[in-house]
Amino acid sequence: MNLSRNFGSNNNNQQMDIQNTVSSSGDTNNNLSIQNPNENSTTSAYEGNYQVNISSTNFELETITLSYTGLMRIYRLLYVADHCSSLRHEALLSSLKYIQETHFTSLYKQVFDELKKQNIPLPNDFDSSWYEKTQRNYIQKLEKLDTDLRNFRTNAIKDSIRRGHDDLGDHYLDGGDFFNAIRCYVRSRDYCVTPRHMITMCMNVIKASFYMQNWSNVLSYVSKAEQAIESLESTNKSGTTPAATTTSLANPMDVSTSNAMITSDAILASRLKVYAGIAELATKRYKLAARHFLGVTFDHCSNHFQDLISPQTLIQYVCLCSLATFERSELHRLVIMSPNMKQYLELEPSIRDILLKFYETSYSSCLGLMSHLEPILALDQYLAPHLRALYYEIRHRIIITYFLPYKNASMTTMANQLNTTTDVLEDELVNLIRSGKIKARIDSKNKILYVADTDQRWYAYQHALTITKQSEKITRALLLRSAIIKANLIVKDDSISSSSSTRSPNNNNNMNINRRHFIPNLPGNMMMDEGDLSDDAAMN
Amino acid sequence: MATLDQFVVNIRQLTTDGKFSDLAQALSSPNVDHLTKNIQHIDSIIATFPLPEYSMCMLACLHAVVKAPNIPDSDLFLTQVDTFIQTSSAEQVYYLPQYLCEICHVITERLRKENRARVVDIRNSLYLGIPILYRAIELLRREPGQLLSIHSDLYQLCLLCQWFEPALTYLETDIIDINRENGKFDVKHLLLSYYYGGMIYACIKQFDRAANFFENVITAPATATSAIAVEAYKKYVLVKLISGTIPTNHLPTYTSRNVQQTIKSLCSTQYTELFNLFNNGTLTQFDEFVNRHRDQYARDRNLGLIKQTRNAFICNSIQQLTKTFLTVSLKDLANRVQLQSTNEAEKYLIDMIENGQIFASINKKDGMVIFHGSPERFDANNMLAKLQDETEKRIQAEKQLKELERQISLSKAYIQRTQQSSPYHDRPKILN
Repeated sequence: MNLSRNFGSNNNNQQMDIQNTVSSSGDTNNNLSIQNPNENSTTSAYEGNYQVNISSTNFELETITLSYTGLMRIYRLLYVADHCSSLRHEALLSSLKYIQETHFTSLYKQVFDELKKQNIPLPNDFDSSWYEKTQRNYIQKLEKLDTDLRNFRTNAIKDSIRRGHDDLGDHYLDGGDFFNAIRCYVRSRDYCVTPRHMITMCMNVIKASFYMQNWSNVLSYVSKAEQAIESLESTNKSGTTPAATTTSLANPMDVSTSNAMITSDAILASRLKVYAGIAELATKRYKLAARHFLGVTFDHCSNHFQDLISPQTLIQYVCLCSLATFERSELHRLVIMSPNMKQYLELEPSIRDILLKFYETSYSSCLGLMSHLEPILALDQYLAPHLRALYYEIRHRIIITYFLPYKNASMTTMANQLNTTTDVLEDELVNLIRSGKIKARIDSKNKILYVADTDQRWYAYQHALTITKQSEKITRALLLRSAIIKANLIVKDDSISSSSSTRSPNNNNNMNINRRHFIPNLPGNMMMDEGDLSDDAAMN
Repeated sequence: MATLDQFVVNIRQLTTDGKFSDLAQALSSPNVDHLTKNIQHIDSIIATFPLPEYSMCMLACLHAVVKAPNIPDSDLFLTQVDTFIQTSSAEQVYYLPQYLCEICHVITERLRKENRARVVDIRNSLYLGIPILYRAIELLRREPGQLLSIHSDLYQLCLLCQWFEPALTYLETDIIDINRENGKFDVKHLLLSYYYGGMIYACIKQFDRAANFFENVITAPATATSAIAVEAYKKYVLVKLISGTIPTNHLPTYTSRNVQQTIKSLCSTQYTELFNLFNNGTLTQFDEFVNRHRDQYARDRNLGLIKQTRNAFICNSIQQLTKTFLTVSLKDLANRVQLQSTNEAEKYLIDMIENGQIFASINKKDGMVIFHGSPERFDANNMLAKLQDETEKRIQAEKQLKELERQISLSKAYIQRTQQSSPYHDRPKILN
């Protein structure tokens, strides 16, 4: 029962499931490895077919259905249906309703089969012939668009060809065929003339790649789109300034349209940031993701991004990523004190509490709130695979900042602060010390953590000894190597290469070739060696 | 027969005249075929050459005997060679080093084969061979730092009969020169001498130096990979891990490319993986890994080294614990290192404390181990003396290097090259 895994499965080269996302090498400060899976609470990594129990929270499906539209809503509902048994019926039924507004017949079939398997009663106004009808519709419209496109091509008007490709791509997207959609959009690139065309093309490709979870594609096209927007802005600026100076009476209509264009561009820019942020999140570059999300203005997010992300989800992403990767000063400046973020934070008081409690170092309540929030976050399809890693990282950060002002700290109080037992804490600390994040040593008898004192003088002497040994070894190796080269000795395979022309017959060193050793290089004649570089010269 | 007589008379004449270079030329092939073709008379010929004046002639005859298809009586021959080496004149022998080396090679080969054939008294012949080779090296060496192909034979025999002292005297001196033996010095001998030398050091547990030797084998200049280098790499990995130096996996940058590639394709799963395992793995993972590849290790005859590596692994884990803990209970220690019991942990701890690898004390009453820092304060005389020794060794090596540099820079070829490429000389280029 993995519906949410199958979206986009009707194309062959998709990026597969959420857990197999492309993990490109991120920055070093984001290189999080789950070292110790034996943490206190659940050890699962929220991958595969996990089930979440949300009885402790007041999560409702309306949050999804109201804040989202379009394909995103359907996917989110399906993800919830996959992973939450209590909301399964509701989610499946409402997702079915929304699928019927699109042409996504394959997904419809899957959901329908799932409903049958779960023996969920269908609503009364169920249209059983929807499936065949929409398929026919889909194919008809496809043919029509195809013929239209061919006509346009014979007419050879660039713009109409481009728009034809765009429409075809939109149609594929609606039907859930992401691979063909991207193909069409990319084809329209050849017919793009102005930067605005470029931007539209980029946005379309980004949207389709996003649903296909092709994150590298998303990121590359985001940068292309940003470049296009910049060039657009520069042309606009150069266009409007002479206009402003020459005409005394600016036409109010022009100003308002240009203003509208500027705001819509800003909306586009924010949108790109959201796409980029989610792509970075999926590829585990959490710090970059947080930075992208921080640039999204609240107005844009709440009003224009319903098919992409809701402000609540955004602030959840921001909170987790920034807690895991930002320094305290960055956290304070960029998240807590930022006026933009304040508006988001007011929507989600629990997230706000987590951030504030972390910043004022009441770690136990912070961690408690985080575990409280965990089931809800586990139902978010983009966040769930990284939830574990982010939580570990936040925990490690808490431990590190906690220990910072101490010379020695009692592990029992630490364990209390962190809602764990001393033994588990000890394991965690061993891992942290091994990986070098804390410089400390554990007194296991009295359960105290001491700062590791380094005896500089001892290290200096020790280092001196090792260095002399090493450099002596290197010098000796150098002397040997120069002796070898002086004697013209190379491990060579004579059976492959033809020997040098001036081979003196006396020195036919033909060893038995059945042995696996290879034959040496042949030097000159017997007695005299060239130059004065040989000790044989001493003989003469 | 006539030509043989002529030949003998000729070389006698040259010897008495003292024209050693001509003599050497006369004694080298194809002229020496006279001797090889008339091998049945060789004994009488040998009798006519009293040593040490006729060392070269004697040497050539012995060489001809060796090259013959079957040596009549190997023991007798060995004594013959022995007396020759002990009584010949070094100056004459310097002209024909390759003959002596070839004789030694053949002797070694035969001794090795006989070692397999005979069951009783197998060691005797080997023991016989070693002093011969030893003295041969003494004879031929121009200076202490010179390498001959006889070295590899000597090391081989020493390994076979497990008697290392003669080899060690030669192993201790570092090589700064290689005797070309008139072109007969095979690079195989170089590789073999360092390979066997490394094995000898591993046997006497000087793993640092063994690792150096194996590294020399691997980094010898090469355009093709030799099987010796591959085997040397396998042992190198194991010895490096046992010696306990921080196991970084990097071969020096001057290792030739195809050697690196061959090593990667052949050895990486079984051997290079060990490095990663050492750094990040646990004892059970290690044991599992070793069991999986046990056949391969057995085929390479490295099982003994593998067992020592296991010990080193445990010591390494315990040492890592000293960095993270100040005190730890014995039970906890045993768990973390994944040993079988606290007794075993205690045994390892006591070993390591005695060897000076860690500094700790065990409190039996509550089963705690307390790790101290190193008590070495570096302010005692002996420590400073040691530091001074090491530095002096280093300076010594540096001196030799400078000498080498000076020799090269004064040589004709170098000056010619630099003159050609230097734009600062305004005198006309010297055409040669």
